[in-house]
Amino acid sequence: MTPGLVLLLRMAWRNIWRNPVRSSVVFVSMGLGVWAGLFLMGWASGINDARVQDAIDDYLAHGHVHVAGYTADGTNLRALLPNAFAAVAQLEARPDVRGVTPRLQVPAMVQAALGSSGLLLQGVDPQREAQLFTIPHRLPDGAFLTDTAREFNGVVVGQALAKRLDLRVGDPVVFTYQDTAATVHSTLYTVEGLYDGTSNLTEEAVAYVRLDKLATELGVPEAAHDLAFRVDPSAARQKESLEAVCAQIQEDFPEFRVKSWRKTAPEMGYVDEIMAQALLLFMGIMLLAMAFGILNTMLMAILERQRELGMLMAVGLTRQRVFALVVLETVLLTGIGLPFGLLLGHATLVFTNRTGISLEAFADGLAEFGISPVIYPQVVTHWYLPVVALVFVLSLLASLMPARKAVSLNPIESMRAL
Amino acid sequence: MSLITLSHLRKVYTETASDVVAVDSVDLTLEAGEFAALVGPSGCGKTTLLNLIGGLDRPTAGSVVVSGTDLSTLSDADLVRFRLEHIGFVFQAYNLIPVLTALENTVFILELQGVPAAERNRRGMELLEAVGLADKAHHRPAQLSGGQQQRVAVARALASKPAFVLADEPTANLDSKSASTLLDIMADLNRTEGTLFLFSTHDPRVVDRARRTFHLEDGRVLREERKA
Ligand SMILES: Nc1ncnc2c1ncn2[C@@H]1O[C@H](COP(=O)(O)OP(=O)(O)OP(=O)(O)O)[C@@H](O)[C@H]1O
Ligand SMILES: [Mg+2]
Repeated sequence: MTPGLVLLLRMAWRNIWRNPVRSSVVFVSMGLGVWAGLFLMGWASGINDARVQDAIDDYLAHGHVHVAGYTADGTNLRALLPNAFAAVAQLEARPDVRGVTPRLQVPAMVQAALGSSGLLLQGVDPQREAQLFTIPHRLPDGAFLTDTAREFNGVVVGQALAKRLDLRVGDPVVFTYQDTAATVHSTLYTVEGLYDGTSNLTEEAVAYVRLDKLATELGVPEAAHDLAFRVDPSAARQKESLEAVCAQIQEDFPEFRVKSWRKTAPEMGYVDEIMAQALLLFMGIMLLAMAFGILNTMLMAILERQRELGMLMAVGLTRQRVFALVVLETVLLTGIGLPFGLLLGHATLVFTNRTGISLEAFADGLAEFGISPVIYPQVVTHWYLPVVALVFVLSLLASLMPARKAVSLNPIESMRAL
Repeated sequence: MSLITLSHLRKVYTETASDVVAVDSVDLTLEAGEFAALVGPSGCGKTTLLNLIGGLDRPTAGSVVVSGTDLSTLSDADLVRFRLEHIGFVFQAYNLIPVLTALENTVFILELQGVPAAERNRRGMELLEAVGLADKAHHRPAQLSGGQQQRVAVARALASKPAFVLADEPTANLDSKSASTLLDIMADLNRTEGTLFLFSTHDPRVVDRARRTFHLEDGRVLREERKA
């Protein structure tokens, strides 16, 4: 450490308190800025986590097993897992797996009295599907493929689709699709239930029938396109631990492809990152505005202390030390508000994360975007360091101009000045 | 070899209307341990001359040689370091750093030079004792009178045992009693520390105290007096 650094630090620190009111304005605005920024990040992260969690519960699951060449739109009918039930049993035997459901997927045309529509017809095991997902439990009307009267030709459609095609429980509806041999089937089903898929998009895109029925239709007994599975919640929480579990499962099924939801629905994860970056940018802009305030405060301080700075340079304070003095003072001035902002932000996030923030008033509008009505802001500790770095860099930038101003002072003239 | 040698020293300020010759062909030498004064009416060039000797300003012509070093050969950065290492300064006012205590102000230069805390505080207290302010060591300048502040400034100027101390009208803002006390202290320290003092003044009460006096007018040394 160069001699004098401690002295410069002491002077910088005490200089801050020469004008307590002016400095307090800086601390308070910095603290509030950091607090607001952190809360906003935690809030956005909470919205996104809720969105991801909802998607996982609705249809995404934690991971999937497919064969190579599988596509989620069901267009590659031959991408079948041959011994699906054996694979289900093997997956289920793993301690880290909390449920598996096999599915057959085929693109289909639905025809009803009022019109027709294209969608993905999904053959599922009703009990297993209900263990993994919330949709089988969210039926405003009817049952989820468990009605014995309609055991083999029941279909559950989304309520948005039902509304558009004016379908009610008990109505007949024809689904047209090809089997693996390219034979076209037009099969009559009966609407057994209407599901609430949160977003209209989902509700119009997927309809559910029984797995055994669809397997017979397509001529592929004991097969499935997709094994959706959930893992232990503790493993699912972290990206890394989920990927690790998926990698272990992959070792059990070398002939298949095991992927986490981040791989099968990458857009879900991107939104998270894009949002975080946008927020950091937003916070950067906010702090930049603050940096100009700090710059102004420091320039005023330098102008007020011209004589003193002139004297310091006259008795032997080098330009580097004068520069360092102003930089240190600016960084300290900025830095004091930072821990308070961090602490306040952290406390707010921890508290609201526990209590949640209800958006019931706007629930209907939010549902359209797949956002649930109670937001639990996340304690975004991984953003604390970038925020600290941002504040630090901006305060350094804000100090450059005042520091250059101080260095450019001429000792004789500064001391003569009145 | 003399401690300070000025030869044909000249400083001209170029103004739009006309050039101002602030210092005009000054030749003088000062030896270690002297107690000397620059005397003359306002505007005669005292401050300018002290600034040239102290390396705060550069001459238009002529040279300033201090302990064998020609100041014109030093870069601006070297000059700052030279001042820090070799010269003590006492200005008319605003000598002290308001946020530092009397003791911290006194040892300011020692701390910049990297002198260990125990050593510099011992030296600082010794000097505050000498200027009669040991009991005010932990007061800030704002809590001291003008005369006390100037005494701290003298202590600060001497702390690093510089080759000489330059004091530009150190008593100008002081009442006669404080001025007299300050001069006593400077004279004492000149004797005990053996440091050359060169101060400027136009105060006749102060002029008598110098053992060597340079009378300036229009930037020239008109005459020189020596006391036995
Ligand atoms: N930066 C400058 N620019 C132009 N002229 C200057 C400058 N500094 C000093 N002068 C002029 O040089 C002359 C000498 O000034 P100086 O300050 O050295 O006088 P002084 O003897 O210290 O006066 P005082 O007793 O009032 O302090 C004056 O005429 C002054 O106006
Ligand atoms: Mg003067």
